[in-house]
Amino acid sequence: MSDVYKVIHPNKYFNDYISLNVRPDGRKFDEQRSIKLNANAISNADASALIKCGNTTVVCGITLELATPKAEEPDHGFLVTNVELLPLCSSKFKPGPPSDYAQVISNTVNDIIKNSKCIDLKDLCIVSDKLAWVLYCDMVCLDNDGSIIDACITTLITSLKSLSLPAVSFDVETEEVKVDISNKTLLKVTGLPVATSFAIYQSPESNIVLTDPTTFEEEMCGGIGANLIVCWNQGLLCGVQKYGGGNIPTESQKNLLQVAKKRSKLVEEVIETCLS
Amino acid sequence: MPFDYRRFNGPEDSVSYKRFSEDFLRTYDELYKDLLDENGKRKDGRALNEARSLCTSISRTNIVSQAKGSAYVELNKTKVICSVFDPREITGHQNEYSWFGQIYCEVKFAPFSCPRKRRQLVPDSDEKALSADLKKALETVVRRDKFPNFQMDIFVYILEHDGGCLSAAINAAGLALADAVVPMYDIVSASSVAIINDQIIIDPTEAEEHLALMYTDKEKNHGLVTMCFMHHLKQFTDFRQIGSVDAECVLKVMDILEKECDKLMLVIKKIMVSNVVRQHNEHKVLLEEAKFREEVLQSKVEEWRKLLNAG
Repeated sequence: MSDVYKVIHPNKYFNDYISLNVRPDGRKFDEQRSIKLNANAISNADASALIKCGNTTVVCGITLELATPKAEEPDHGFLVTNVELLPLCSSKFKPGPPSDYAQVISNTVNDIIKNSKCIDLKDLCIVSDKLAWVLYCDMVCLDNDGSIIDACITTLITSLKSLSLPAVSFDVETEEVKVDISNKTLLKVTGLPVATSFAIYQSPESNIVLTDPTTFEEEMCGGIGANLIVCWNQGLLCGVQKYGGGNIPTESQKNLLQVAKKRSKLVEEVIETCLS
Repeated sequence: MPFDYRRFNGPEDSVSYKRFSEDFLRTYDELYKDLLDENGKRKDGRALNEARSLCTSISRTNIVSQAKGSAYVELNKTKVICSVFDPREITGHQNEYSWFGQIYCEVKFAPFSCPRKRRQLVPDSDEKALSADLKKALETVVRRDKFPNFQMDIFVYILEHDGGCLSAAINAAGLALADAVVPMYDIVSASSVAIINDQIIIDPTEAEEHLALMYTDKEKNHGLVTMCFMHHLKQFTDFRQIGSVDAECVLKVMDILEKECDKLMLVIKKIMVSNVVRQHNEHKVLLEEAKFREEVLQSKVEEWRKLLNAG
């Protein structure tokens, strides 16, 4: 019965729940979904991680390659991050080149990772101006049920933390490269950015903030995905994005940041227990 | 390679580090010795005629919440996920009315799925060939007369490739179609075989497939065969053979594959049944929850009614 109601009157259905101070899946407004994390499930990738936040599933795999560094930055390696939203994960995405939405998501994730400086690109350089590592980090969404950016960032950081680089010897005269797979060292990861998504619902009385929204909730709040993304990096803010939706009440702004901070601590713990 | 403006690109001249490791330059004979020992055992301990078991506890249906039907299939390291969406009407004035429903298939490899090199994000010819094969395999199984002028989308994503990805894709698609309650003539199951030096190897891994296609001796049989089979109707829906194999060997392989497909069919049936049981239980829980919520809503309505009547 409620399924039919949801399809015919989605707004009213949603409003009924909100007026009862509960969300359609039974959560409170500031409650997040449970997180399941698994590292190195894919052995063909050099490092990988899988996350499940409620129904949202994202897999991240890292492939290592070698290349010559750019002429303008001879002692920097490369970190290439891409988010793929497959047509498989939701009926909203069509096959073909990535949509505008997918590009926005990909760009946001890239911004957060680059600006949080959790990887020093100089660590990826092997011989200045000659040889450097390229980390291709591909995040693939298998099931899109809201808050993808949170899931993407967490998988990416987990897989980066479990990545180890094989030893490389480079002969300067002959330019011969030799890779020793048996001798590997862990990559140094210094920051730990954690993003938290919010959706802001404009109810007649006041604006209500929902933590960790599902796709249905994101749709009801009318933004490009989540309305607000707050990213903490070990006690420092490293990115706040606001995409449409209602305005945030002044009194809840501080509260919002605290919720995100609390969640970042929790995710940090989850990552640590997963990798230990 | 054309430049992709929609994604972040790495440097153009990047090469996988495996290219510089010692394993890369191994010859055919070395690889052969490594994969098959004298006692007729393979590297992972299986006999030549032993298939990897489709694990019923891990492989399951209904894994993608947003799709109508979905399935996940895992054969040791090969991991495949598939989802099927509701049929949608074929629109556009250029299209003629089609009396049969159309099937659109897309097979994609994850960039990190292959052990030898990184896959590009742009679709390549390999993926297109797999998509075409999958489409041909499923077209004859689905009752397309039931949804004329509608198109059904089937998406397959290969998370990790360790041999037999076409047969895994077909098995996953068959399960996903069943999960989406699409009318079908029969259950499909697919299996593959590699032939190396006249030896028939059932359910090869990626390394064995690689070896089967890099043969040097032209006298002996080398190749890969994948077959898709409908169990009850005793019909093939797809057959794909590459390499150089003589006719006698192909006939022998077909008999073997038929038996393998029959074995697989039992496992697939088991997965389907467990899926029905699980969904039934989930439905029960959901119904109870809905009942509770409706009661709460009803009490609220009563409250309002009282308020209305009072003032």
